[in-house]
Amino acid sequence: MKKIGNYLLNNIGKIIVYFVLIFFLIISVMPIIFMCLAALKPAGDLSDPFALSISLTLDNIIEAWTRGRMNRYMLNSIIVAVPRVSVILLFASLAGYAFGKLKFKGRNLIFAFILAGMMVPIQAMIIPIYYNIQQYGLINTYWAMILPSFGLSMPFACFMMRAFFKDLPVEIMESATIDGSNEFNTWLYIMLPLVRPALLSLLVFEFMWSWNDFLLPMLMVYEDSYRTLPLGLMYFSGEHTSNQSLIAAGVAICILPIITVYLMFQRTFIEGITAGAVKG
Amino acid sequence: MTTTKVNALKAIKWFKSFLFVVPALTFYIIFMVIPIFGTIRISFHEWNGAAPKMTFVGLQNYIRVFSDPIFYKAIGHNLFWIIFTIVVPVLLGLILAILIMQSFVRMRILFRVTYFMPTLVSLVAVGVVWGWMYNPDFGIIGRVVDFFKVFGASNIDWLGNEKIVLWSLVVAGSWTYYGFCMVIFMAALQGIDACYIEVAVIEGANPWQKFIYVIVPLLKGTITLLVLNSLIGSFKVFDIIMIMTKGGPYHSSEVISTYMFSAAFSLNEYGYGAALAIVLAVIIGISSSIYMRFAEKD
Repeated sequence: MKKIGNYLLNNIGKIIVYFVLIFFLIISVMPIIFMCLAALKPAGDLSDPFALSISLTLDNIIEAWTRGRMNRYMLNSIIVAVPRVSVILLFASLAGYAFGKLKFKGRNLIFAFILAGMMVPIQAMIIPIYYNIQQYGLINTYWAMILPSFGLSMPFACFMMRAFFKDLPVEIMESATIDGSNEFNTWLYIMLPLVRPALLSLLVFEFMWSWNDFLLPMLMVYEDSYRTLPLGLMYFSGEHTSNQSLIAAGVAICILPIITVYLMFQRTFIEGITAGAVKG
Repeated sequence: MTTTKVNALKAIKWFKSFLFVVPALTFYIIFMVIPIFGTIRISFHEWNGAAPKMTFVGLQNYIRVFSDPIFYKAIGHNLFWIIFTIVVPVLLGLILAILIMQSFVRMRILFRVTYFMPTLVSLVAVGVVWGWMYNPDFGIIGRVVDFFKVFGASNIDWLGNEKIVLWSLVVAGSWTYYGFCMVIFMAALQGIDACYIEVAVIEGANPWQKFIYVIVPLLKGTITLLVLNSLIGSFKVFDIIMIMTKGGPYHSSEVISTYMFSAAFSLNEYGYGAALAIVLAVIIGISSSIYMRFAEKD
């Protein structure tokens, strides 16, 4: 007994630290886990989504997937996310290379010009964007959700790519030029592979923003067959308020892809953003 | 070589570099710059969004904005959001990061991975989950508070009570953010040279002094970044409020962005909505500049 008492007293600091860290870990993860558990509960236990149930079933998930049209929503989210992420990554890495490494007149001015966009709230742009998309008859299309994001995501993406390109040693670029490489080849074969962590981080970020984007799809699309997951989930939960396990299944379907992508890339991702934040 | 030839070559060289920027710049101009001017233009008109012609009304919308009590209420809510977000998640992130960097802590990766998760979750999902947690009938928050026998609390309508709805929302919002702050601070702390801390220990500093006089100044850049991010984000905050309460009940959780949205897209007062959006953009611009000036001074 005395030994345990001594141990506790000597290590009270460490115990408190671990306690606090674990406490907040639980707070971070608990709602998500509750949701997944609620999704696996049979639909009968209606009254209390937070009660734990012994029997697990995939029925809710299957039902949300088919009858709830979550499969359609997920497909739409993917169709929108892939072009968004790839094009933004491409344009931003081109521009980031130029801003970070190439010297040309007006470079810093143009960069400041683009950077200013980070402060502007999206509300300042959506009225004309909405109207124009309407005018061109692009409401209820995928393009309506894809194209505006190219412009809106550029400030942050360019900022991040520039920070990473800037840190690359100039000598590599110079030796490539001496070896006869033109700018584009230098960019493609030499610089780009060197900023892989930044690219992966930006990929996760942009994928996350595209996947979770709610405002743009809400404005651009009102037909159910074009809805993306967040939008679909919103209407879905409104439609089935009494069937909580079903809604929980919908939430689980919505959040699992991004969590999976994150877990796959988490190391590089976190290295990327923290390096960007600490440098920038 | 003649001067013209030299100039021509220089121009081509410039253009080759400029070309890299063209795609990004083009889309930026089309989808950000031009629309902003469009919004400014609309803000000087009255328009229902459907009629082909807009009525020019000059500064009327702006005058209306600044005499609108709901506008001031909304700004108040934004300011509340800013203060809470800077005090709670940013500070909490810093403290947690310092705790986790203590030399005896193991399995940092586990913490890093789990703390970051709330940041990834779609705000619609956050709205649904926290909506359930706040549910007056079965909500888990009510039950936990009830456990501590406070106010007989399990029937508090966390989202329906005008006085506390904003608090409920900002807590949910902070839940999505403190993990992000912690991870950023963690990385920043890892970059601190250990010798600074060792010097402080040799000089006999206790943990509190170490914190204030050594760690915080070294983290100044990161703190500035996160505070600025919170500042801008708190003015822009939209999704989570829109999803959970739409600004209600009776505007008690209204913020500028939700107010602008309902003015334009619910009430079809596009001119007024545009004016609100521009005012918001200007407010963000001014406060960011003031903050950056203040942060750089030290």
